[in-house]
Amino acid sequence: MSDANSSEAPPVAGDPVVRLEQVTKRFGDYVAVEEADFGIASGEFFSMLGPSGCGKTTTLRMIAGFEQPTGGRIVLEGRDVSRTPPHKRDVNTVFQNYALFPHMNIFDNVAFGLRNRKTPKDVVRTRVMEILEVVRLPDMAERRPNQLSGGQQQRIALARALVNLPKALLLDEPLGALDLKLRQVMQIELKRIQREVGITFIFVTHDQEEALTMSDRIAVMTQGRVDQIGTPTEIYHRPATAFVAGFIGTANLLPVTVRSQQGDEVTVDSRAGGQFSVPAGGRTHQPGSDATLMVRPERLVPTGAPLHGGAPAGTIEATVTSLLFQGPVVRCGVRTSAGADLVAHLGPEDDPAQFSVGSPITMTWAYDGAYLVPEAISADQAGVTHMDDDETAALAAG
Amino acid sequence: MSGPVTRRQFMTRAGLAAGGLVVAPSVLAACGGSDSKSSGSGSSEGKGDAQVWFDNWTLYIDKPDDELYGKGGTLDEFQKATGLKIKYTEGINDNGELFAKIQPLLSKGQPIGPNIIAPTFWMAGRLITLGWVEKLPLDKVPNAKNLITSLQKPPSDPTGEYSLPWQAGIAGIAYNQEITGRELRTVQDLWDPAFKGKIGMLTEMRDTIGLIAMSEGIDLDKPTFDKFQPAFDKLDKEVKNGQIRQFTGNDYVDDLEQGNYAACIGWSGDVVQLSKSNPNIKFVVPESGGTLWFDTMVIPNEASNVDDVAKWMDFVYDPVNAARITASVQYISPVQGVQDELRKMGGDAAELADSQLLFPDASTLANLQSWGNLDKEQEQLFDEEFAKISGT
Amino acid sequence: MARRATADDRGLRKSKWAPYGFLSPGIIWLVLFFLVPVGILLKASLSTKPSRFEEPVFDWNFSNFSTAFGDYGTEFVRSFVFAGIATLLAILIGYPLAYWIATRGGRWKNFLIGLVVVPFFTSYLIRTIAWTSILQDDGPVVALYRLLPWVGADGRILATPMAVIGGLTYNFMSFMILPIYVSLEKIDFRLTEAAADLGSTPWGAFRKVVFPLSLPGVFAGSLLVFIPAAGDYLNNRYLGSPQTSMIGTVVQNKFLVQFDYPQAAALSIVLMVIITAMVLVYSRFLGTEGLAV
Repeated sequence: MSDANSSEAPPVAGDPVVRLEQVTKRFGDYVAVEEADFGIASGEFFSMLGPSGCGKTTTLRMIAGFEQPTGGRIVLEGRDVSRTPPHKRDVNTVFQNYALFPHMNIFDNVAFGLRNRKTPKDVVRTRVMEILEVVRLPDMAERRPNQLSGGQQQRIALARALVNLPKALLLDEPLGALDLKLRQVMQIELKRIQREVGITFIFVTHDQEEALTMSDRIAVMTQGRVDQIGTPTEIYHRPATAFVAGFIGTANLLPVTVRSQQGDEVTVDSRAGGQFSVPAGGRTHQPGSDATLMVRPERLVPTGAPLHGGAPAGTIEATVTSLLFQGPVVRCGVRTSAGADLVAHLGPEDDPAQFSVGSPITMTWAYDGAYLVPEAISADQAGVTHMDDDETAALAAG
Repeated sequence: MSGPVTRRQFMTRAGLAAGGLVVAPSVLAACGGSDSKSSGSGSSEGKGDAQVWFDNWTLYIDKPDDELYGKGGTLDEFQKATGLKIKYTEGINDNGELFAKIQPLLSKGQPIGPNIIAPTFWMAGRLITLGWVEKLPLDKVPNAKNLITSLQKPPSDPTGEYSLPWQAGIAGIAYNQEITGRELRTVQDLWDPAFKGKIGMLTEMRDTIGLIAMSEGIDLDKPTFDKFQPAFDKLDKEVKNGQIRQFTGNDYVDDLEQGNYAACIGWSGDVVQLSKSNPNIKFVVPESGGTLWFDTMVIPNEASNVDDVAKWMDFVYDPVNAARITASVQYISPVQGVQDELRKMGGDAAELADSQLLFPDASTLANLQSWGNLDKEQEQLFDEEFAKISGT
Repeated sequence: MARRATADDRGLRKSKWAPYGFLSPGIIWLVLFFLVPVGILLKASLSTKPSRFEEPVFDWNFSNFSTAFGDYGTEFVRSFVFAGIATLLAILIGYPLAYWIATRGGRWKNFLIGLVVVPFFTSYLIRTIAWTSILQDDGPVVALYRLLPWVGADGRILATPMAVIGGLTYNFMSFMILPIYVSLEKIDFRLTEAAADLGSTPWGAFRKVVFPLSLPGVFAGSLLVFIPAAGDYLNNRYLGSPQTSMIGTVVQNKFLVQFDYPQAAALSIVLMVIITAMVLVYSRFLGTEGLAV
């Protein structure tokens, strides 16, 4: 755990169950995974998060043994399993489409792994019935998979894998096929089950909210690379890259240039004009280097509104472009004089009623409410990210 | 297979292929009651404006497009000479199939379409016995006098009034001297243990049983099942002990060439052609005798234009026309004077004139027998027993 | 509400007849080309021919059936044994081929399956006769065969049960490959990953997951091979000997040579009944209903 990415993460309990060492996977010229290097601790709920094609599923399949790494090693409890076929690895997978055996009843599906290990009959029966209790489907043993609902199949897929007490349980977008309500129920169920069985979960998802809700730690991946590994809070508040900032939740991004640093306080020049003070986030920023200032919508407020987390860091002149009432907050879209679109979530204390579309507004945020991402973005990337997902999440919350 | 496909070769194969298709309609026809209106032999279309419709076996006449023997075949010549139109179809593949097709119509006194058909002599005999063919207007066929003596009034048509032979051939022993290592002369030679599993028989019951019967001292005149029992016993014994490998139709030719057979019962016409390319293939009329078979021309009941049919028969019994046909099909012609006409034609045709198998001399002829007529009960016994033994 | 319910009711009643309307072409076809011929066959099988060339007369003549069993038991048994072995061989050869095409065929799949069907472009008869050339006693195949320690210098393939069974297997192979291929194609091969994940060796995954799921194809293929093979006569005709004659040979001869329609019909019906019974037992044994995915 000595590499740059994981050094950001706080130390986790227990030894790593799975360790990826410089793991690379190429399909022909295409690099699916590039030098993935991290460890997953025993009992951890670890997520790999990223858009489709980012390499998260390939990484999972390498851990499961369905793919072999082109370079690097995969170590399972201290043993190099890079070339070990899946049936000899002590991990189990919950597949995206569940992959239940349609010609077997639920009992036989769940007993499949135990029987492969020549477990005595009575033990098989006890363990299968136990795990069916855990997933709360004890009465389904005699049914066929096609007689079950999607959520039930999901639980059976989980039971079929868990019954083997694997060193790690690999879950490949397991909730992707479920509708929203069921997905939320299953998220809670998964957490409950994980606590109950105490097995390491390695979870692949493209849904940032799902990852934030469930994970102890998250690896955010894009284009085959791991951008950041950290706890949900870390990743949300202190994104290592502009991509992470944008992919996890909504972020207002402003291109800035570092002017000076004094202790943990950095002074930056906005490229659209203006100067701000930003916490350094434990880093040293070279004066003159380009970076990105991130402010989350809930921290962006009109001047005059109550601030949390220190003095105002600076102001931005803008015009209100939209006002959407979303229950707990009003989603206020503004356009800066430099032309960047920003989003602020205004609470009742911000008195959103005083604004109307087209009226000028001066935005500000508390010193602690911003974060300096040590990565430059171009001027046209300035503004709010992740609009679509933000709306979806808002709807879901409502 | 080398060499041209002969009439009998084609018949065996096409017949078998069609066999599967023919089963259903024949059952329907046989069992379907009196309103059955199945089409006539050969084709379903009518005679059109043709006065003569001859339904024959495949590859059994010279054709105008016959490259070897030039344009203007016998059919054209006939139309030129008489002004009559002739429709010639090649609808006959197999005697049994032919019978299955025409039986429903003829048994109800309905015309079948063609006004001449070409059943093999024993099938002609069956049709004659059943009264399903017309008496020939022989007074209008003066050339009928050219019919060779050995085929006059054959047992299948004792009065000679119902059928005229079309072409004839001999069944004898065919063998591959490369395998036998010696000349064969008798049917007994076929039972030589050295040839175990390499002897072939024909599925044509009369040729196989006929040859064996003659070798057992049974003549083919007035055949009865009791009289032929020893021949069947002999055949059964040689099948059971594995001496006989298989019963085939014309594909015995392949078996001979490919070394599957050391020897078998075969037909003269094929071996004439085969021995040209493979001199090891020999044909011999066994000392105990060979069978003479022939296909006939008969006029089915209710046929129209009988006088015009007579003109056609007269035309093909003219030695000049008969020789043209023989030169193409290479079987024994039933017409006297063909040998001389072939010599006049010169070239390949003249060579044929000297073949013992096309023009057997008196001593060979004396050694050939034709089957007497089998009545239907007897024929049924023969066919059943033969089928049981041969497994075909 | 009440009025609505009545209207719905009427709609329902009307639509109750609609399925029969759609079915009618099929039903008419079935009646005309299956039930009627079978009826005629049944009638013929209980008839007697007064003499050889007269039409059969229906007279409840059950003796045709006793003859069928009494005289042709050997041919029946041989037919089913040969057809059974041919079916088994077709599975053993056809399954791996279908499996290979379904799993490894990639973009060549359709082309490869096309190749499986290519033999159909040549007549069945010609293909069978072609084997007589390939397996001729003077040919290279038999020359190699004779090198086997238990085969003598005069060993042969043609005119043996081996040749007939081989011919049946060859001729009906496509009917085995195609349905197996279709059922394999339908299988989600992530299931084999799931099996491997749960500790199955590749063979174990095949045995416990892929093979059971492909059984409907094996079942269909077996019927498509066994039924025509049991009634076949051409393979025996060209590749066999009098010692290998099958029931199809007898039926063909009874119909076309001996004109013994009643006996031929009785033999056909016995064949049909036995095959139907075997199919029922077989399907019960395999339990295909439960396999529907």
